[in-house]
Amino acid sequence: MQTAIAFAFFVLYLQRMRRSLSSPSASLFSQAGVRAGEFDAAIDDLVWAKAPAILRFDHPLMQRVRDGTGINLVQVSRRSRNLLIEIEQHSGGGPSWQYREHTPRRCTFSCQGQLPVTIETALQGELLERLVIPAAALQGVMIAHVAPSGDGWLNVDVTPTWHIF
Amino acid sequence: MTDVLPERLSSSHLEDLALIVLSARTDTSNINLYPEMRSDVRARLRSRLKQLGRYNFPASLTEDKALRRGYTLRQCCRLTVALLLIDAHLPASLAVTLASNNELGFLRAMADRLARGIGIAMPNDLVAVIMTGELQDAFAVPAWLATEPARVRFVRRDEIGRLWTDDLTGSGARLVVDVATATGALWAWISARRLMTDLARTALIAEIEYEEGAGCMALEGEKKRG
Repeated sequence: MQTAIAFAFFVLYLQRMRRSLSSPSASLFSQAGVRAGEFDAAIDDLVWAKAPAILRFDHPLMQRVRDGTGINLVQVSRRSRNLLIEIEQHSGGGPSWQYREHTPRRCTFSCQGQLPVTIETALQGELLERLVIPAAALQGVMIAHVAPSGDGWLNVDVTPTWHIF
Repeated sequence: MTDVLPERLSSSHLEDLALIVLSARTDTSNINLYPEMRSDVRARLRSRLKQLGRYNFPASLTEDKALRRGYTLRQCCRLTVALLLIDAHLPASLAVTLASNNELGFLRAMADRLARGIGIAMPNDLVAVIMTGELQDAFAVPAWLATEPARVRFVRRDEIGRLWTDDLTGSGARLVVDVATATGALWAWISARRLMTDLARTALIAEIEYEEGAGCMALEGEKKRG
């Protein structure tokens, strides 16, 4: 009996320690041929060295993803067992679109453009592909809310799906 | 209409911010957006930020409940001042006191630069001149100390040659801190990565313009000298 309870707790513990990954990062990593476990191990190394659990721009894994996909991945951090990514795509002189995962429930996509208010409301619940073309890396992302940021950009709150890996 | 929340810079960018402001150059056109640092450099910057955090600087969680979400542009500017002062080998306690007692003066100098946007340094940028003489009160009390106890002055960049003229008192050492160039680099970096929108900049400029109070205060708030 006691062994069974201990085993159940062990299984629960393993479940709790599973990392999760959003759909855009999963597709980005698979395009670049990097496993999510490699990112997790690299972050573990940082944590062992008492550094924040953030992989920065100059890390070799980030370089591999950028070279493999052409998407400017700038940061991968781990917060509460979730791998959170930040993409800042530049074109020409300035930024063209950005995707940031602050927490699993607060992810934002922003890009240049203007939309009529009626269309903004109608886009809720649609896939992000309906709004912007260049987001080849951002598949399976639903639009939760669209609002203009006041300087010619659109701030889109999005809800990606999260997978355990 | 709902209240617009101020935009915030995530704390994961603070080490980059520290490097950007400490290595600021007068020409902001070719700024490195993603500075590469060795891990020991990053650790040193992190410990400096932690050191400021112990003084509840730039803000504490009781003052600003949303600090966990990140730092507002105003807090980034406060942090910039303290980082520059510590980099000039002032002790952290003095740097924090100077930066918080003269906050408005520093912020006005920074807003002045922010209002002109990014670009190269101008001759009318304001630089902070700090009179740090520790034993100053042991000597003859200069006239300005009686009339105005401020220890931090702001002069235009093209007037730096006149630092020992009468209006800045005749004697003693001075520490000149170029807050304008640091602000220029800070905003060039933030805007190029679009970590904040231009609205944050205009909001800060407007906020400081309408904020009342003297730009400078005594170095040690309540303790009057002499």
